Amino acid sequence: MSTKVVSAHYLIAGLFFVALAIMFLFSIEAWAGHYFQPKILALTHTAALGWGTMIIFGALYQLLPVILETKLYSLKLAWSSLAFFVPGIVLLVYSFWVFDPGLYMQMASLLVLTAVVLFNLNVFLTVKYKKQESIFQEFIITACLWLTLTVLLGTLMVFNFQYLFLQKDHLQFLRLHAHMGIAGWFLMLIIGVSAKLVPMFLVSKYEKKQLLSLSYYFINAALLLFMVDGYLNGINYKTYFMVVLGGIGICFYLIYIFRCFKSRIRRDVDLPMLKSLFSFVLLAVALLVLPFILYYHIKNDSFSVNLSTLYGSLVFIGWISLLILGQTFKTLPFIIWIKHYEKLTGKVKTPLPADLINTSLLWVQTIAFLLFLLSFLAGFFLNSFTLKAISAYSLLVTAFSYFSHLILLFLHKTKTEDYDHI
Amino acid sequence: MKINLNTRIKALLDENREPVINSLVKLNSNFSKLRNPILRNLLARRVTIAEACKIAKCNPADFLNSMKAIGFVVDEAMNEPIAKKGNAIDFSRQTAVFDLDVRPFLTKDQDPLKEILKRVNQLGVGERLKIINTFEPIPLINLLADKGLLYATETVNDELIITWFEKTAQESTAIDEPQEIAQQQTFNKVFNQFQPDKIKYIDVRKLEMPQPLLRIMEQIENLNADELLYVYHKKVPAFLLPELRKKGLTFLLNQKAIDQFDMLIYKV
Repeated sequence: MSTKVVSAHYLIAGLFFVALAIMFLFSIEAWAGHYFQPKILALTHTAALGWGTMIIFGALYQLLPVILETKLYSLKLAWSSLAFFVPGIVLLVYSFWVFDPGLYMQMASLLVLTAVVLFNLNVFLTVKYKKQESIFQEFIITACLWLTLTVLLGTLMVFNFQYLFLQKDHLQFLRLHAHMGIAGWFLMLIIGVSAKLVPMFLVSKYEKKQLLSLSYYFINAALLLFMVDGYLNGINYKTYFMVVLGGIGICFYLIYIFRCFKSRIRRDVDLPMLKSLFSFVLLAVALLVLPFILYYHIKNDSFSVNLSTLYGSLVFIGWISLLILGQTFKTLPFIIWIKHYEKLTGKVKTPLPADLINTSLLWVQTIAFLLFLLSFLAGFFLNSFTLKAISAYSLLVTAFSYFSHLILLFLHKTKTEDYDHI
Repeated sequence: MKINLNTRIKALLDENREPVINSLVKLNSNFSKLRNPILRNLLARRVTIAEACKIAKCNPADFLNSMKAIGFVVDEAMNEPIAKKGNAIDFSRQTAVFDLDVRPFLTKDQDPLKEILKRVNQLGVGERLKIINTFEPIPLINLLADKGLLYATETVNDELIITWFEKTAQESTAIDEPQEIAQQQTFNKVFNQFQPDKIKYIDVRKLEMPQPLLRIMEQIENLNADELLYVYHKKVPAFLLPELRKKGLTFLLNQKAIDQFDMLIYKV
């Protein structure tokens, strides 16, 4: 049963989220400076690997069998990937935070790389058992490939700190690394998985997959062009074109989601679903920031650096975090429910997956996150320390309410009643 | 499907219920008991082909041949029934004996299992229960022997068989009606409450997600209080359950195989 490995990923991701919030509190000052600096690097990798990727790994071990209607290839492989991943991330984040680009950071990057390769192996072998091709699995497979490339380039950059073998400016590689991760891994994966799950959660009849195919080709084309041109020429006027191309790709996807939403049978949308949908608004806002970064960058205005920080924050703690905050309480109750009630339901009265959620904790978490988002954005534009401190504490409340909610779910006790009419 | 004398009747019924019952009834009218859902579940789950032949007094070779005729493959290598480990009663020891005649239950087509288990649980250590029956209650013997009771059977004549059970010290916990049977009975009870022409059947096992959900949703849209929807599913449809609750519908599930669930959906 995959319950244990999935739960382990959720729990560890929750811990990294708490760590992220604590680190955020201690790096408020750093947010005003350049994004290429120890604390921001540590934060970004905690968010991207420890929080985002960790939970995606766990969710995929649960959802791949559901999406592809097949079995996960190997649980052992999943556990071994985790065994490399956790020490890898901890060591990487630590060596970024104290900025020690030597042996520890190199070991960390290799550990993470191994974990990602093992994960990919598991995904590919799982997909191999599925004969029917679908656009969902194209997205997932491509995302996994992009993740490997992202981590590979990251590893090269870590070794480059010591051996200096990369020919170009480190920041140029950082941009490529970041966008492979954001658009290649997170975006591809989230589109692939959500395109299958959102219609299921909303109970929608919408079935046209062409929009998804278009989205797939546009985003990948934009990303490939950006990789080649970004490597050869850095940022220039052509980069606008790639942003537009990728933006159109995302729009195709958003139209797909919107049509699913319009044709849904389940009329009321619950809080976790609402958060998930709202997270895409933050993605759209982040995308709108991109042309401005380009504009100021080409003008050689240092404001582009601040905007880049804003862009990164919107992507990682805006879009991805909010999506996870929403989807955790959509997917985890199912895992717990299946463990406790799958064998009992239909024989005695059982609660439903959604009944396992603690509504007040969910509201605390939602309001705290909203407060975080507003004070963070306001603090950023007004450059106010007080607002930034409020945002940091709000994030801490979000993280703790999230984590304690996880624990509550894991401690759930089976409760049943007999049918009274039979 | 390959079968032999040790194959359980349930496996045959799961494979191809109606033809199996029809050809068995043709073979020997005693098998018409399999038409009754309660007796079917009581018997089929715990009884092998060899044992069923003994109960119904028919020739095992005829049984296997009739199954061959409807497409089963007979495994010739395994033509000996596996002998049951005996834990016989020592009748030289005198003890209290309680009688239970279950023939009145059977003539009324009722299942005597509940009553039998109640009496078994009332037995003290070393005491015996004497059951008077029209056939050798092999399923019951299998159930109670597993729980550590001693047993013995005596065939008085074709229509009168006596079975003794003796409680031993090693057996301490109360014997419950096996849960699956209780749940099965609930399922069948609800199923039987509806008129056959008010039952709609749909099979969503071959559909790709989320089609099963959508198909069921269509069907339950206008489900009346006197109507029942019978769904053949390949798994527990977790996503459907909130929709059922919202519509005030109740459901029952009966797992027939690892990827076979029968589901009843109805209004209470």
